[in-house]
Amino acid sequence: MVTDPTLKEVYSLVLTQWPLVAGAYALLWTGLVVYVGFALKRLNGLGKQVEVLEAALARRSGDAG
Amino acid sequence: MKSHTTRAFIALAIGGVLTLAAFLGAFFWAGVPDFGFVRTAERTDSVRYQGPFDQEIDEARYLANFAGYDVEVVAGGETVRGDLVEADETHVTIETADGEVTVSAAEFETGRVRGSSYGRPDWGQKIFYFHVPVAEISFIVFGFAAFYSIRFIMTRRREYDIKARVSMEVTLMFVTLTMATGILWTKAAWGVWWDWEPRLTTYFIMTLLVVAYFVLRNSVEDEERRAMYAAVFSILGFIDAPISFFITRLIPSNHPVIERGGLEPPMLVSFIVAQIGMIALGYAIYQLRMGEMLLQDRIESAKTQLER
Repeated sequence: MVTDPTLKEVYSLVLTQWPLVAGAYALLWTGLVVYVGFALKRLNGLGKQVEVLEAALARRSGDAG
Repeated sequence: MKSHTTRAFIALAIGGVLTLAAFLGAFFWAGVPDFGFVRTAERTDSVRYQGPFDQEIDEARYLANFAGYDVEVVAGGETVRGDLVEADETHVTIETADGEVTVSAAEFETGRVRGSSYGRPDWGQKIFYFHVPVAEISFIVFGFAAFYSIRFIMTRRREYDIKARVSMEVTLMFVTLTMATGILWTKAAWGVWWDWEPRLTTYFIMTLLVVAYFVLRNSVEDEERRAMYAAVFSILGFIDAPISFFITRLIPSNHPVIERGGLEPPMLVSFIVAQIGMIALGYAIYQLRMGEMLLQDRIESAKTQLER
């Protein structure tokens, strides 16, 4: 907490930049985390689909054999 | 697919650690540069103290913003010195050792204001540590997309079309982040959300080109034609990337340029670590999406075999 009146005056003129800095970092990290999160979720879902389909293929080739 | 996922997780871990380190370095190690200065009546011990100022004033109304400052006014041939109480276009009131003295603006001849100057901290500069690496990655990955597109045109192999498409997706992601952080920086530094200056304009064109690439892909049904059109478009679109990158060095631009030796060591180290971390994250996202594409291929192939 800044108590000195002169420094208070100095900082009061520039603190308006803080919400913009916080916003920039929030957007950046949220964007990256959400993108990676969705990609991982999709990857997981696709992995499960592949397992099911390839198991079905294996069963069918087993039946045919 | 496994190798793509493994590479993606390793790159994610490295990128995560490095970007976190860069974030901590940027906020808790690197200093805050000054962005102009602030004048105050008083002086206090501060690393931001730049020295005294002593300014001549030629009209009474110009003293209006200096209430509380040490002023000296010459009016009607007499000199009055003390702390300024108030001033406007009609009068100037000064608190002297003998009490308040009011001087008419009509009699005002000249005045001086004395005070202290302090560096004005530029907090908005903190955006630079990640805005610049994210923008750099967007240029680099766009370059990879163009490279894979050239390879596709040369070989007509589908894998290069997939690589080019995934590279363009990563470019879109980083272009969006660059625009978002850039707009907030522009507001912090220039006081406006947007300015049609050379860097911003050429980067905006690049953003539109990246978006247009996906519009083009979605509008062509035939797979081979789609891949060929998209490849040609991404190669032509990439021409804007070096233009946007170098334009600030070629023609007058408000956009800052990093100069050799322009950053103090803590700032430079944090910036370099952020760059390496972002490259790792960009690579991780590329590998994740490539893994996804290969899985989709396997699903399509398995479905086709099951339908036979």
